[in-house]
Order: sequence, then structure tokens, then C-alpha cells
Amino acid sequence: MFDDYWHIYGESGSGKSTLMNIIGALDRPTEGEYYFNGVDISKLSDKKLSKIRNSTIGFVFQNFNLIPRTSALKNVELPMVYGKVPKKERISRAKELLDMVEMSSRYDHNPNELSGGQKQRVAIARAMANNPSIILADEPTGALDSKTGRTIMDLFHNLHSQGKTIVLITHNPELAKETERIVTISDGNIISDSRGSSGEDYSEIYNSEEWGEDNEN
Amino acid sequence: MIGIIVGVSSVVLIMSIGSSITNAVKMYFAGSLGDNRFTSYVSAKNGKNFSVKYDELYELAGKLPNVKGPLLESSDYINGRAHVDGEHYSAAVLRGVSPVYSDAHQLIMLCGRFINMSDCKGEKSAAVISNVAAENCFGSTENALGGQLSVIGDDGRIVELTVVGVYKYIDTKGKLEKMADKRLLASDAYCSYEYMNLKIGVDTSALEFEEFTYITDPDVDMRLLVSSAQDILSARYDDPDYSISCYRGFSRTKETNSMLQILILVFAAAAGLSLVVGGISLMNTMLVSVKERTKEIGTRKAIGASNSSIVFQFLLESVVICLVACIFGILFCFLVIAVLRQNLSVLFDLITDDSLKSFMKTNNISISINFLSVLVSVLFSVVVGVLFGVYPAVKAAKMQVTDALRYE
Repeated sequence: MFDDYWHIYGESGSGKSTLMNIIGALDRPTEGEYYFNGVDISKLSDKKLSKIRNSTIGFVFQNFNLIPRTSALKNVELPMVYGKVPKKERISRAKELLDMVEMSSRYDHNPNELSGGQKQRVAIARAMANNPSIILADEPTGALDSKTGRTIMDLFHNLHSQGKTIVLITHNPELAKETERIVTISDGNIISDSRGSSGEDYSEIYNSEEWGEDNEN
Repeated sequence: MIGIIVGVSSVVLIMSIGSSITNAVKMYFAGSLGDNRFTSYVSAKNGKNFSVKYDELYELAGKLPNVKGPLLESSDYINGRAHVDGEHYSAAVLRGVSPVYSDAHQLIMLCGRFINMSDCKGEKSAAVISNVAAENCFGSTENALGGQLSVIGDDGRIVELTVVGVYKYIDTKGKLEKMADKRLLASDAYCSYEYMNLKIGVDTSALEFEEFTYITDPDVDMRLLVSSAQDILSARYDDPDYSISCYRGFSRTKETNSMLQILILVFAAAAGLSLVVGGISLMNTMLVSVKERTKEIGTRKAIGASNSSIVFQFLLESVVICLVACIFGILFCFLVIAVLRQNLSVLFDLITDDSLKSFMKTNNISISINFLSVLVSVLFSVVVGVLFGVYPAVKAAKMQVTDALRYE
């Protein structure tokens, strides 16, 4: 599924966040298996799980979840700190990423000195820190006004065009249309899987139970 | 934090003041109770007479380790006045003593020197007088050095003296205050034992001693010294009819010190308890902090923090809090000690025992920070930081990422 731009769409309580937690190796499935790059996530130790989260997955949250009282630069550095990247390299990479999300002038600002859109940009830069194979964004525009949300979406498009796999979760059907592939969830089941722009239907190819295994391999 | 500041400062203060008191008591006892001397007794059986000659006293002193010399004081003294001229005089009691006399009686030299061995051997007229006598006779202590005095005894004996040193007169009973004419205050003047004997008509070389006292270096193991002295003396007079025994001076310093130290440690332990209470309040603070930062912890774990790095982060935090509190506590102690040092005389006035009070005042007894206690409290606060930081830190690390992220 690399090089994909997915959209998981569903109403509140449909189970999309749970799915996202499992994809992001934040949670272990109560039943069934989840293979990530061929590894069964449910059987991994905390250390290995955190390593996977650190190096191969980038998270973007609805409420930004930046570390308070910590500068934008330090926030972007943090995943690299946990990834034991040398300090010099870490700082130059963090600056590069902040430049990419057009936050060059805000290196030393703390989260409380940033607007919502700016915070989300920093969060995206942070998600990109260790150059993960996949970016998981849980309602990234949910807490933003539509104009700012637009710029954030543009950023994701941009990242995708650079070859990142992106999984977006929203309950905004408008945003869903922009992506290549839309997975619709209801009551914990995938009810449709279609091409966003072309409208091609994937749902006959996958059923909900095989979905994870087939694609992650 | 406050708890730890209070804990650290009470530990450091108690230990600092305690060790200063111990030192003062040690000094106080060293002179007055004879902790730097031992006495030997010679006894003979079968009706024989046996004693040690004057020359042998010094010879033996040379053979014994850590022994400074024999404590000798002339059998007679001259009570009278030390005159420069008719106008300048001071009441004095002239005594002939050996050089170690100043160690035995803790004399404080203000200028010049005490009687030394060359004075003894040459039977020189060198003398040491009190600062009161120096001021009476020469106007000041400095002027006294090299000054010539004639001590005229009430019985008419006259001894010529050359001042080589001035010691500090310890006015234990406040006599000096009450004297209208300072010249009438009788203070001791010292010349060599040998010179005094010459003046009072005693043949020093013919003197024999059945009992004699040696002054030792301070802080020697007296038990060990006494036993080796006994061995040497016994070997020297290897005769079944004689026995020589050595006794320690009336020494209580060690016992008193260890008692004081136990007391101080008990107080310090009580103060240490307040550190533990501080630790508990720190744990409470850390638990609240962990709760408040649930979301942050969740985020950190989501971006790749392992359980151990979360534990490390919170442990480090609590240790740093403890160390910062510790530094504040120590700074506070320096402040308190500085204030105490400024007001030492006020403190000494609270002492009811007169001789102890004057001893404290005259010996410049002071209070200083006990650096061992600083070290101990720094180590202790690190231990408290770790001990009481572990639970909150583990609690933080054990959080479920998904729950933590959802926490508002």
C-alpha cells in the first residue's frame, strides 16, 4: 500500500479511530492479527513497538498534541531524540522540516505562541522527522477553520506527491473526495473501498477481514 | 520542594553546629582535663629507694614516640612585683616551668615565644609575661619584647628577667574589670625551670623524681602511647624490685565526644526524617504532574518514546527537583551560619558556666559549615528523588497510549 493516499471515512463511533490506533501500532487488536511490514504487531514488546512507532510511522493528531512549553524546533527534534539521531544532524533536519512546512520564522516559538494552523504544520513536520513510511493523520483539520484546513490538506497533497503514504481519517466527505482511495467504515466494518477521484469501487476486491493482512504484506 | 529545602537545611545546620560544638568541647577539655599528658610513677620494694634523675627525664622523652617533653614546675615560686622602674610595675607570680608548660595549660601567645630548651640548658633569664603585665610595665605587648624586668618577691628575693614572649591573660572571673589599679592584678610570669632553680638555690642536676608527667602531641592514641611508654621504662629499669607504671591523664574527651556525636546523629536523623516527609510531598507533586501531563506522555509514546525513556524522564525530573531544593537548602544554611557567626558573642552570653563562656570568647570559637553534611545531604536528596520518583515515573510509563492520547 506504499505510495498510497488513503482516506478512512466514517461517522463518529464507527471505529475509524480504533482502526487508526491499530494501524499506528498504538493499540493491540483484541482479536485477529495485524502485520506491519511482515511483523505481527500484537506480539511485539514495548521496546520494539516504540521503535516501529518512532521510525516508520508519523502521527498527526486533531489537537496537534505538541509538547507544551517546548519550542517548535525541539518538538520536531523529539522523535529524532528517541531515535538517537546525533544532535547536530537532528537540529539541521528539524530546521529543514520546519522550512518545508513554511515555519522558518517560528523555530523558537512555544506551542502556546502559535495559531492552530501553525501548530498543525509543526505537528506535520514532527511526523516527518524520522522519514516514516506512512503518515497517519487523525482528523488533522478537525480543529481548524476551513481556510486553514485547506492549507493543511495542501501540505498532505504535497507530501503525497513526494511519495509518502498517507492515511487520513475524517468525517468530512468533502475532504475525502480529494484522495485516491476512500475506505468507509460503519459499525466497525468496512462498507466500501473506492477510488476517490475516479469513483472506482475496491470493495469487491477486499472484504473487511482480509484487508489488513493482504495489504500490509 | 519546600519540604526538601527544610529537610536539607536542618540536616546541614544540625551537623554543622554540632561538629562546631564538638570541636569547641574537644579544645576545652584538651587543656583542662589533661588529654595530652600521661603520668608515670616509680615505686620500689624491699625498702630500696628509687627515682629517676632530672637528666634521665629528658633522655626518656627522646625515646618515646609523640612525647614533647616532661612537664616540670619549680617547687617554689616568687610572689611579688615585676618592676621596670619605680613607676612601672605589675603584680606577678614567677614560676619556673619546662617548655611544654604552655601546651599543658593552653597558653595563647600574643607575641614572641614561650620558654624553649635553650633557655633551660643555658639557665637563661628569658621570661614570658602576661599581656596585663606587659601593658603595666611597657605600655603595650609589643614593647615588652626584649624588655628587662626585676621581680622583687615579697620575701625580698630578686630575679632579673628578659621578656621573650607575651601570653594572653585569661580573665575567667572578671577580676580585671574590678581592679581600679591594673598594676595590682597578679598574673603569672614564667621563666625556665632551671633558671628558677638557680635563683631559689636548688641543684637541678641532683633532682630526682618518683612521679613525672609527659606532655604528648594532641590527638595521639593515648592508650597505645601509655603502653609503649610503660614497656620502654620497664626495660630501662629492669629490676624486680622496681616497678614503673604509667597512667593516662584524667581524660574524658573521647567519651564526651562520642556521646556528643551520638546526640548529634540522633538530631540529624530526626532532621533526615523531614527529608523523607519532603520526599513524600515530592511524590505527590510528581503524581499530579504525571496526571496533568497524561496527554504529553501519550504523545511522547506515540512518536516513539519507550517505557524506559518515560521512566527516565520523570526520574530525572524528580532528582533535579530534589537537587535544586538541596542547593536552596544549603544556601539557606550558609546564610544562617553567616548570621550566627556575626552574633557569636550574643550566643556565648547565653552560656551559664563562666569558665566555659570565657573560654568560648577568648579562643575565638566559631561555627562553620560541616562539608561532610553537605555531601551527605546532596547524596540523600538524590536518593530521595529516585526513591520517591520511581512510583510516579513507572505509573507514567505504564499508561496505555490510546487512553493517554484521549485524556483531556
